[in-house]
Amino acid sequence: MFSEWANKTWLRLKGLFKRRQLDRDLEDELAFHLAKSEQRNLETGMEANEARYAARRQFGNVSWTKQRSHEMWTFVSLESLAQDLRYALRMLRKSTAFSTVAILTLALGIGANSAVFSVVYSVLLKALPYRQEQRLVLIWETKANEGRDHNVVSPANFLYWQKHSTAFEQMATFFDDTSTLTREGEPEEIPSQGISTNLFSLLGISPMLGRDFSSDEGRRGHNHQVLLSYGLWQRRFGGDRAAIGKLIRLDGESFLVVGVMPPGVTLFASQGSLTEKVAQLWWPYGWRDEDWAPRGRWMSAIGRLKPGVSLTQAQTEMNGLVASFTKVYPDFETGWGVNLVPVREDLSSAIRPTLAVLLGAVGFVLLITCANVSNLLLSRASSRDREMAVRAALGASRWRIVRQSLTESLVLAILGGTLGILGAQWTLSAMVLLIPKTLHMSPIHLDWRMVVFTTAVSLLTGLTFGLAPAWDTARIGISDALREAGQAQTGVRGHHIRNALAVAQITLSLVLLAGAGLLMRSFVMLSSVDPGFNPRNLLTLRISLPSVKYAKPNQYIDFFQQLLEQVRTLPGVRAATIDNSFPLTGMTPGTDFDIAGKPARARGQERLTDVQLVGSDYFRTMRIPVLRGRTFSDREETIESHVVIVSDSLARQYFPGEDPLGHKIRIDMKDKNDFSEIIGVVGDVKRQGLDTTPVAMSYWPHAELPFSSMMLAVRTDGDPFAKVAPIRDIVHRMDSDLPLSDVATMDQALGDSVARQHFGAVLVTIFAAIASFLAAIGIYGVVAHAVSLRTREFGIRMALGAEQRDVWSLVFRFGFAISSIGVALGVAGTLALTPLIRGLLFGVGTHDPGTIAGVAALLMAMALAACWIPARRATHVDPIVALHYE
Amino acid sequence: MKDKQKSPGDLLQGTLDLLILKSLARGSMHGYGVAEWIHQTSEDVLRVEEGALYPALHRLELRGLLSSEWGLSDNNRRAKYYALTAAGLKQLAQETEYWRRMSGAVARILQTA
Repeated sequence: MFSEWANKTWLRLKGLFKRRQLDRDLEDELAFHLAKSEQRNLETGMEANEARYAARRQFGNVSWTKQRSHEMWTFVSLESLAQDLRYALRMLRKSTAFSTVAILTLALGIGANSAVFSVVYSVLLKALPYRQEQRLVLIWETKANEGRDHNVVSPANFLYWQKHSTAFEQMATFFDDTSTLTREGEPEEIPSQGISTNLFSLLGISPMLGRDFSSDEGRRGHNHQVLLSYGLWQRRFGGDRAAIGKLIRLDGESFLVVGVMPPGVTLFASQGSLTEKVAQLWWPYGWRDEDWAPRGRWMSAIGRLKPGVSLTQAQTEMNGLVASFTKVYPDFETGWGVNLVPVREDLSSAIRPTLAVLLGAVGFVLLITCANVSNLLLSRASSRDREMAVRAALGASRWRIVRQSLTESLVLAILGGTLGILGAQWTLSAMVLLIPKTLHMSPIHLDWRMVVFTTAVSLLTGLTFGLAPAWDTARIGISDALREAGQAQTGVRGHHIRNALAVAQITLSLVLLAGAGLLMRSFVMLSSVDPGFNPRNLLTLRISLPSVKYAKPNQYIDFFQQLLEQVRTLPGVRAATIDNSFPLTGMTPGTDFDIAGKPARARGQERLTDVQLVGSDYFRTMRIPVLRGRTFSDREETIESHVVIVSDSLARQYFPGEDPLGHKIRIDMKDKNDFSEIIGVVGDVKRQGLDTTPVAMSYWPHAELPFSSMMLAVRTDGDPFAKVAPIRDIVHRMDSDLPLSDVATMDQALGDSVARQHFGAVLVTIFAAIASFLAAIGIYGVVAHAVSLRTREFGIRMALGAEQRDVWSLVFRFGFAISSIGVALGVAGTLALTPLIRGLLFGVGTHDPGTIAGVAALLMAMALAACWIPARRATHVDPIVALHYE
Repeated sequence: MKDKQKSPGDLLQGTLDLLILKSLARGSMHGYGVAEWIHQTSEDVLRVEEGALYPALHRLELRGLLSSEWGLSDNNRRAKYYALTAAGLKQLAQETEYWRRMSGAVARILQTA
């Protein structure tokens, strides 16, 4: 059995490589037979000619016999595939315009799809680098009456949950911070995370070098160890293993490097981040006994559910724990709740709607691509009816003809797909630049899965659009086709499909264009929102004073005042000030307050304000308008004077119909809280983002509550970055160990704050542009084909006296009919679909008439423009040539 | 092989292979010789469709039942000669036995009243 199979295969392989030899042998063998046969006939007394013909007749179909034997020797499918391929390539080379358009179309469609899929894959689908991530949940506190469902957690709550919860295997905390690294070259402020010692074991990640933290390193005073990120280890320690066991200087204190984490390890929860930056080193948070008593909320918490415990069960248990905690600490806990969110959902929640829209958009692009190429192939198939018919008449089987068509489509798809991969690479690098930085969960790049996806898409596309023409071809009765092909009416059969495809393309493009238009308008509206201050030519940077060297609050005040004095003397600096956190670049501390002479509010209903600590000249530097009263005096900036300036929205919300000036408020922010007198009211600033409503804000002079880490803001004449070097010189003259960090301009920060909207709007617009371009090609193809089929008709009309104008209108009427049906359907589709992106829109309705009318008109114009070339060709038909057309 | 051979004198499906094997049992022959031998031996009753003969020869060769070599014919032309292999001889014995049993059975059925 096996030997027979081996023998066959051997002969076939031989057949594959010695095809010529075998063919010649077969030829000889049959010729010999015919010669013998002929000779015998001659011997029976036939004429020479007759003898030859009789021998032939008796033998039957020689080429059929050859074919049968030939098939036996060779891997038929393989060989005829090669034949099909050669033929397909020859056909594609012959019609350059068709091939170019088809391949480019495919490349665009496939490229866009692969790029978007890569991003979606790495953001939404790719496994997070954690062990059994589906059991990891982030734990947030909630405050329903303020609409907060992702609030950071108080250490006391965390410790209470950790002690009493049974639903979790483990719980851990982390919080973003910054640590200033000195004595290792240039001082640098490095984004870091304070973590509970069990964080990495909970996540299921071990250090690649050295060890993890031990549990007794999580006690205050014993917590001077660090783990380095792979990137930091490479960048600052040259990837040297000797870094383990080294003592490094962070914030002026000694820390022991115990390990290096593998590349790509991050746990970044944007909602809880004070720095908005991904940590590059980790140190153990040192717990104290006081942490058991509730105070502020500032940590992020994560838990690993026990196997078999559902999210709902865990949530129920946690609700119970919050209720019992509230009984013990009603002042602190009333009105608060708890919210468990699976880690993946939490980490990708901000970008998810945008990605969903992008996926939809590229899906549309791919559909349009398929329709377009299908249309192109259909047009071509009908002009090749005769060729197909001839091939069928010569004995090609129906399957063989279908296969030929499919091969051509596949070759197109593969060429398009290959170009598409290049296009995807390009699109992807553009997308990665546009993606908001904090959304990077893991590096996004083209990998083999994406290549597989591209190939699968291109093959599927090839088969899809190959099917219509192939089916069309196979359906032809040979005699019909041969007869029909002589006349110019063959296209009728494919007309309906082609017209429908063109209409579908316009419809899809319109929906996409409308979506893009709405997103773009939203983005423009958002960008034109007045943030409440002037962001032009405003340089911002952070300076953090290490507590070891700067122990007393007076030292902070002095340092920053001296710094400001020197910076203001720099040429090209108009004004300079300090602030503890700049708009749009970080969280602002918030708390509750009382008003002197007014009753305190009930628990859970407290008056709330965010608090800013500002330096002298703040409102002038920022160009925040002073609405009433005055700004801080120099004395108030230097000595604690219990004065406060409030924002317009605080004044409206808590002093309705009253003049807030002269009122005293007590802000719960310090160990000992005094009443501060309101001396001014200033305009609102959109601190949390341009699409948010401003919250009540109180401004204190830096002297009232000195912070050691402050932002410096400098209003400059020209390029803000030109002032970085002179400012660094000033800082280094004052203290050579101090780094400048977060150097940026306010314009940049504003840009970053709308990066997500920008990302969505730009990409959808690009995809919509591609789609419309493809639709225009589609219309062009359909109209051009119709014109070429009616060449004779136009010739006759013109011979009978029709004007060019009449022919123009004939062609345009056809183009107009197709486009207007497409546009009408597209408008209907838009009205139905845009409500899906309501959440991504800002300042524009889902059915914004201006946008929809605008894109409809645009598409109509494009479609009619696409009719222009075929129309011109139609009017230039020479009647004589047209009548001789066949 | 899905040959449509229905006229009298055409070969039953599968019998062509048997006849080819049998004809080559006497020694190696070229294709024309095989056709002629069958024609003459059956006293002009069986006529091999010549077009079907060669694919059958090639198929048997592929199955390893025949071997072939090129030689010169009586009138000095290049001709392909086929010969039975050991496997072919064995196959011939099996098929002959099978044919005897089949034709005997059919004959017995036809003899019944």
